Amino acid sequence: MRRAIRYRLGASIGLVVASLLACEGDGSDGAAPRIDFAPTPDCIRFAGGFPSGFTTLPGGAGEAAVVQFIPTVVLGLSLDSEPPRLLSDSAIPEFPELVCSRCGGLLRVDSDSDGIADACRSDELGFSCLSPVAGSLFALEPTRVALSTSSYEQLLFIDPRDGMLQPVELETPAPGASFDPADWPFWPPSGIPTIRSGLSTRACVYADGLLDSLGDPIGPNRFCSPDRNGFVTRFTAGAARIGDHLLVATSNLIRSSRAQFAPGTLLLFEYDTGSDPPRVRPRADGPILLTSGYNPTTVTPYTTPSGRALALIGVSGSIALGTGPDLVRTDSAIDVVDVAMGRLIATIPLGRAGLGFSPIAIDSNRRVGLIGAATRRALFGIDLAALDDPLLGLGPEALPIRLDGSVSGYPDARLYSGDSPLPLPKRSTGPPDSQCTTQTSVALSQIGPSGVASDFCDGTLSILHLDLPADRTASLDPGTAVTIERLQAVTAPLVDDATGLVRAIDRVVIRPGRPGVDFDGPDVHFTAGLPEGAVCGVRIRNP
Amino acid sequence: MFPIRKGRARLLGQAALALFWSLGLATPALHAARGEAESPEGSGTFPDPGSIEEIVVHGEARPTMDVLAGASISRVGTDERLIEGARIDDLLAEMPGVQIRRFGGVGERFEISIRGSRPEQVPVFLDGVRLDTSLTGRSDLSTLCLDVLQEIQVTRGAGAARAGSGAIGGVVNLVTRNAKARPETRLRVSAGSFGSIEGSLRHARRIDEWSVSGSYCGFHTDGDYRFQRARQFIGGLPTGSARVEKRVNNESDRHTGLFRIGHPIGGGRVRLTQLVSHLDRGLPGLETNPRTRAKERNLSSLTSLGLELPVSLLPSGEFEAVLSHRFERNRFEDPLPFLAGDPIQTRTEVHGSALRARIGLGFDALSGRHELDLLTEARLDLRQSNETTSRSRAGIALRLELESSWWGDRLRLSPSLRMERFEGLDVEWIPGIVIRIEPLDWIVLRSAIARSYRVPSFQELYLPDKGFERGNEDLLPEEAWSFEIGATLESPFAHPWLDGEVEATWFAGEIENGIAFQLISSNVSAPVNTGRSQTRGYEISLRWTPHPWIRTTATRTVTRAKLESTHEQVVGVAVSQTDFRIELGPRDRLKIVGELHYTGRLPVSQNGAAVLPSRIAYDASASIDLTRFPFLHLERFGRALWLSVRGRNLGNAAIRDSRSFPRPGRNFSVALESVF
Repeated sequence: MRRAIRYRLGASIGLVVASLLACEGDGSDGAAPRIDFAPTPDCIRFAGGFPSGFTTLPGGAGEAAVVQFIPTVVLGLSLDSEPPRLLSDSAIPEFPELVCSRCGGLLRVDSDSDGIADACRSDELGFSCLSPVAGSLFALEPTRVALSTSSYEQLLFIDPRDGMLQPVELETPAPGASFDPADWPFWPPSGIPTIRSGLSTRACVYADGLLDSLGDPIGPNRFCSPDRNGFVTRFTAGAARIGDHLLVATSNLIRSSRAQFAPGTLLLFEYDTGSDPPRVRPRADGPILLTSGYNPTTVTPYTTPSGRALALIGVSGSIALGTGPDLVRTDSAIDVVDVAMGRLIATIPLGRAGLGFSPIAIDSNRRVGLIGAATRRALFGIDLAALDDPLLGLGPEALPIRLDGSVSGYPDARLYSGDSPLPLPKRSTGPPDSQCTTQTSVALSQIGPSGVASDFCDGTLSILHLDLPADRTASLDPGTAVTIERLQAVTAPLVDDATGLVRAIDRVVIRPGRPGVDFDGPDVHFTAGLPEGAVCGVRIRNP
Repeated sequence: MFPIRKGRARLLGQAALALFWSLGLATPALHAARGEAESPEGSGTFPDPGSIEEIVVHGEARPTMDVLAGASISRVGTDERLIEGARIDDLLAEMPGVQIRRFGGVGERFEISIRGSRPEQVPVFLDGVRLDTSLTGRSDLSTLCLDVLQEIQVTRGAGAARAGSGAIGGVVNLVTRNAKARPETRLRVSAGSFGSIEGSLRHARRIDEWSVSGSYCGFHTDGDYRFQRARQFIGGLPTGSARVEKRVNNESDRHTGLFRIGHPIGGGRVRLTQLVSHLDRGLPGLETNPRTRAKERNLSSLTSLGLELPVSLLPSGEFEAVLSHRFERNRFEDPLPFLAGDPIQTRTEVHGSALRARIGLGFDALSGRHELDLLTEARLDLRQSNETTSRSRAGIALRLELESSWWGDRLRLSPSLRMERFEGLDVEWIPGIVIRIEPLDWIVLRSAIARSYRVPSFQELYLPDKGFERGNEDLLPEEAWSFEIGATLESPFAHPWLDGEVEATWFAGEIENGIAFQLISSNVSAPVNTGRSQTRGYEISLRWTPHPWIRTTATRTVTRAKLESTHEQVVGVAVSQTDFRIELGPRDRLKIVGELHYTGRLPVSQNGAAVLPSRIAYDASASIDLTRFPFLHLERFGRALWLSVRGRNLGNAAIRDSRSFPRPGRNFSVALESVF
């Protein structure tokens, strides 16, 4: 009897124990965990720090879009209010997710909407379990922006008003002399138009005699044809829509710890907005261009006075991580691509400049193009009049033509180069240059001869004044063409005892329209990376 | 066992006993006396129900070097809490002023913060010997198990005079198990959610004059759990989803062994302690960027040889010396790092050797009793890594401390001064004073003011330059002072319903040159001195035992730790924390425990940019000694056979102590412990 009682007791206890141990909760019974991001009077703040992309939206409605880096979300912003506020009035979704059994059984994003988690798709194709990492943002239309992503290399299409992915129709050209579908492994088969929300920028590039940025020869790549020397594109960077084309730069970073880059590439896609959704296909007659240098990071549309559609490619050069003066390892340049021809027609060498990662700012008269620096307190610039010649690149000369005065008959387009940049003033309370290697970005007004340039370390905006001759044939004087009107501190500098304050400013934009007339709020907005991601507004012209 | 009965003079007696032990006056005769005082039931039973928070003092439990200093000291014995299924972090978390930040589920690492400090500002000792490594200045207590410990002691407030560099927030001392007069063996096995199993075996005995104790515990967990994602609210609007997701790569295996042997020598005692711990676990990474294959392997050991001898110069003089060596080897590998960077494989070894010697002299003068303590310490730390060159650092310290008492211990004054110098740094002078007044039998007033500092760790100084991250050899030591004033009131009434105690402390502190990793350039992080921060707050703890079968405790801590640059709460420090615990039942056979843990809003970003709202978590446990039920006939399984069930986060709430490290929902563990 006692034994029976003991057994029953033991069995009961065992049952209870087993039930309890199998009764794990998932933490979902109470309210969902929330993390509140509080704005400041000037800034809207969000997660992740260091917004990787920021752009105004076309249409003149005072709207912009910004990338929340992690978790990745594109936020549409109204710049009318102070601080900026979200355009959406409902929850902003993350990218769709699916369980990927071959990548740890975790939920992974399916950002390109192909019904397979990106990591799974990447692994299936031999690239291991890679998920997209947000990069830059480019406005295509008021309701459509493109977000470049690395790791899972692609360009995503998103509606900034609600953060939803937008469809495009992908069409892979038939095999031809200049196009082999096998070199675009993430694209659908030829002849089968497919709806996706992103286009892959992963492609094989072949050429003999290529060297990486360390001078090592490039041989066959395991992801591409084993019989040909080449590499696979990676680190999708800048992009732009130019007419009926999308141009995407890939910087092809191999190893950041050694500042090792494969040659830079520019991918060319046809973008047909006549259909709904827009149709995109790699350009069949030559979808890939090699840039003149390493690490192309930005693509800026530019139309010459004669109406020629060009793309200005900011080739930053190989840049090492760290601080100090010798981080720029190879030369920088601005490459000029004729979009219709699909060819690199010219290059403007800028020496060891280390171009910044924001697009080139072009003044309202389309005479000057300025770009920030990735490793110093300076700006670089080019004289766009050098591109006015409608026959540029159409002659018998070898392309690309160097526009640095070294080629007879062609002008020197350099205004501020690596050897003679436009220096920006230093804030007296900023960190020493030996500690903080700054980076700058620049924006120019589209209604007047002015602009602003940001300083990452100092937390300042330099207010620029442009004095440009009306005659496009008149040469520019670097000493007077762009001058610093004043310096305005807008955030704390990146010094040791500024912990917790808004700082680390990066992308800067000037709101379209006339301050005080078309709008009352701040006329300049910039992103800040610390302590959280932020977009802040400041009045520069409209006190 | 030698339970200290709750009474009007309990605190005073406890303090005097602590002082007595710390001065090393434990003569063999006294040991024998304590042996007689042990419970005939052995430690399979509990002390008086009125002493939930009480220390349970065994023979030579006090460490050779008493590193506890200051006005606010908490102690908690482990045996009774082990039976409930508690872990080290549970015991620490319930102490006033202590916040524990957990970074995952069972077996995951956690951090200790005392009065708003960072974890490297809380040195951890094992029997008075430093456990934290010079590599990070921190101790990873998740590499230990509670089973090898007998008691956990915490000093809140600056303790640098005794503990040296780093003791800015407080000091934790872990006391290992010792041998009692009667041999004792404890065997515990437990199983829990997430595929967790744990087992321990502890044995302690005396063999002639030798006292020997050995403990082993092994732990394994599959560790993976489901959690609910956090939603980011921007301007009140949610982004992302609150989906339930699985946290992977949490598998963990841990083995810890501790051996201690002691023998009388020349009227004193010699003791050898050896701790070895091995940990092999996955590192799941951030919630938003999980690392599915990152692993760490950690092997650590601590060897200490202690000697206590009477000094013949004065009748109550004593000499103590401890020679110790700490070794830690950490291997980390991640074949798939973020953004498809280079695979990471690092191996770091740290050796820390220390020699401490102390002379204590007792004498009567100026109508009072005085204990004069002179300590000297030498330390040599060495770091080796496959990533960079070896580094070493030597340090020396001298300390003078006088503890004076008058009027039968009603007034105690304890000034101290420590001089410490580390290679490459200036001499640091660390003064401090503790005052304790007992105007009436039921009230104790105490106050302390002290300076403290922390030398930068090897990691902070010499982290190899990886381009995006590096050390900073120009760092200045953190400089701090702290002040506190408090009172302890015991119920002066004999009625059982009025058996209680209230302790309240107000504290303030300031840290100059606080060290934190910051972005110093567009793509480089490095540790920098971040300026000044201030801390103000209070701690209240309450104990009430209205009936021997009803025991309650509550603690509340409010900490306002603010950076001078922003005047906002320091990241990771909850503004307030309240813990309530009720224990029901006769402790020696049945115990049902309910716990409530409230954590106030928690900044997870500097300057209050991002905040986790307040939350409440509920835990409970039930324990029963099966041998107390004769009809089960289980006496042959030992003097006691405890079966316990513990549930954590019973509300199944989504809780987390940091932005990117979710904790599991409701989970359970079941344990069986036998005492022979």
